[in-house]
Amino acid sequence: MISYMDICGKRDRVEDMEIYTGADVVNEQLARYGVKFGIYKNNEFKEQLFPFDMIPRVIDNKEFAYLEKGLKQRVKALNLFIADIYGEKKIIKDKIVPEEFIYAGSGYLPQCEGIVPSKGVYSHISGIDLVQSKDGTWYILEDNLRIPSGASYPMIVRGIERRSAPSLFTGKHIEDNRNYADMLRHTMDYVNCGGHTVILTPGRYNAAYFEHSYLAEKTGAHLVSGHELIVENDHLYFIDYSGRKERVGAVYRRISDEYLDPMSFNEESVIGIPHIFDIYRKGNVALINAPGNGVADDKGIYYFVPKMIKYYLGEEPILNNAPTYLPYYDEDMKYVLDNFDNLVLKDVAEAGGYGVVFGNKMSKEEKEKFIAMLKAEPRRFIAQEVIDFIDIDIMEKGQLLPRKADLRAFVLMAEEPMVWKSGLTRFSRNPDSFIVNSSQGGGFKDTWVLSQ
Amino acid sequence: MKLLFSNEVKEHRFSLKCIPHDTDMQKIENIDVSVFPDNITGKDIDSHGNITIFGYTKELHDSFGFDVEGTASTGLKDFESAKELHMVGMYKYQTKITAPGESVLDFSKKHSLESCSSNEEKALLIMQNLNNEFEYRQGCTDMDTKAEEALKGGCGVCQDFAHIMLSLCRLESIPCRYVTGMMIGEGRSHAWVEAWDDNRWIGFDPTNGKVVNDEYIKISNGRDFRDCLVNQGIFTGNVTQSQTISVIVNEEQNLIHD
Repeated sequence: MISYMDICGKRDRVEDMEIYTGADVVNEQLARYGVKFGIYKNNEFKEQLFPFDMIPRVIDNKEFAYLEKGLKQRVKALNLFIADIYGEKKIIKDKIVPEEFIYAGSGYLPQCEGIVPSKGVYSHISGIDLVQSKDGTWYILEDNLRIPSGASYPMIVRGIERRSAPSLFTGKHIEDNRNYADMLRHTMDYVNCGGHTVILTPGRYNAAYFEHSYLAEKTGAHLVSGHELIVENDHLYFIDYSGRKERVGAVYRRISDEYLDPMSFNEESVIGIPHIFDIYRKGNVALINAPGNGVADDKGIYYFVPKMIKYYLGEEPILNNAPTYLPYYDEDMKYVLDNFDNLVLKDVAEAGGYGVVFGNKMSKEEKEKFIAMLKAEPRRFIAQEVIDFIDIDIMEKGQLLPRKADLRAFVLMAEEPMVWKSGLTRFSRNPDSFIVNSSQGGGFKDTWVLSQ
Repeated sequence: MKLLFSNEVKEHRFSLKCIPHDTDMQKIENIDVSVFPDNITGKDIDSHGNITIFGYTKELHDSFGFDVEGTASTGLKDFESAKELHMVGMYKYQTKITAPGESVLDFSKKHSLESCSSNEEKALLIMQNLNNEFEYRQGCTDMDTKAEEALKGGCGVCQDFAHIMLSLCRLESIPCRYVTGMMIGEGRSHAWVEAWDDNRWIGFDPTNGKVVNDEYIKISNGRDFRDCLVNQGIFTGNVTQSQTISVIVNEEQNLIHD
């Protein structure tokens, strides 16, 4: 483990550190560029700045090489799993994954049965969340294979930092992370079925609208909303301002499966494109990421990912899951009940830091109520050992304060999986909290991967 | 099928699952489809094996409909061959429409299936029990009625019979699917159930208490009614709509086979 202080030298006074002067400038610039995310609270849309902390997370090159290897392995296996589930279902036949974890969950979409997407890629962009425990071990916390967001923040902030505090980078060997747009463009071009590449946004009231527009700008893709796309004669077209139609071959869609096509999914969707799913089935357009990926990133399925790696690749998993128990299995249920106070319990249907409860933080009544629920619906929950993950210092009002931080690594899949040599480091601003999600008020840091 | 709108609509997109497909039990020939306004743009097979046609009418129109004509040879076999058990898992789990509640659970407890040794026997018994105790009556349910609600109400139409039977079979972990189709004679479309037993799909008609035979022509199948919508569409316009479906199945000749 290496920290920013190790490579920049520790100073007695925060004011003397290189990062001290730049922070305000960078945050000001971020605000000016509109680097925000939106949240809905009490039915009202509010945009918030995503607080940025100047002290980067540092990962040395050897450690990152290990992460890279493990992440590629994991994403490969997850892709094979999705292909198998919507195809031959060998992993069910061989009883590695019990079928109720597939069919009774919400991630499996029967509409996707039998579909093989362009070039056989399902998870083009995977956001894999990791934490590092205090003993240095990395653990995978979650796989995000639907529409993982967050890459734009470290992308833009690196550029701003380099301009506003160039001395910060002098003499340090840090992997450039501004190549994400090129990686993404390559990923989209690889599966393109002929025509333009577009980024489909639900619009400016979406939480990640900044990211949609920024990625479009940086990759040179058109930023479009549903009403600008139309299906005609088995192909997808973009209608430009003059009414001209141009064929579209790849859609990096930032709207969820449910709203993608009112003819195949939620028929009340007004942001989707009617019949887009039908031409996707025919192989006339690439959808990035593939619909139906939710079957592989559900918290219940997470438990089985190490088994998938062995099953599909015949390899031992390089990266570990956090120790996880499935109350679905009697043995695990017993363990969970016996060790309730030491565990964190997660509702498999929830995301974004919601539906996560700590055994030791419940009152007696809450606990009884929860256990009754757990016994009634054991498949709905997973339990995990609480990992004491590392703190990284943040700078607040001239003070250095340790805060919990995780890392979202981005793995892009074209011919082969590629790991972006950076990532989104999120931290909890609350000293007592383990929950780092931006929707719950967390901030972010730059992530430096050392090149030597 | 004919749909009448109280006002004109435009930007009308539709998906139709109205063409029967070949199975081991039936062979479909001389199919002639006409849609009005005539705007078919594509055709495909959905994830359940159903023929789907798509279309788009941009201009204003106040009615929409289609006619399908053709010949079906039926009764070619007593069952349809099915994929292996691990491939039909999606039909084993309840959907929002078939999810059991108190009434379905009570019903299932009342009838012991202990004497049955196969899915086929279980499904047969479930069908008979349901046929005996649930009343066929139009008007006490609508298109959106769920299995539990229908059984609680005590009466319904073929769609409700099928949904309740699916719910009961799935409680027994029998993979089973909803079927939309036609029966000999004149009337409306019909619905029944297919249950999986040892790599076979066997048809059961709980409305009539009969095992499906050569009097039936299947159009589509799925997890429930929603997967088998004959006509699905979205359009722009503020209207009320009324739909009429008429089905005529005439017998041409008997195929005799021993």
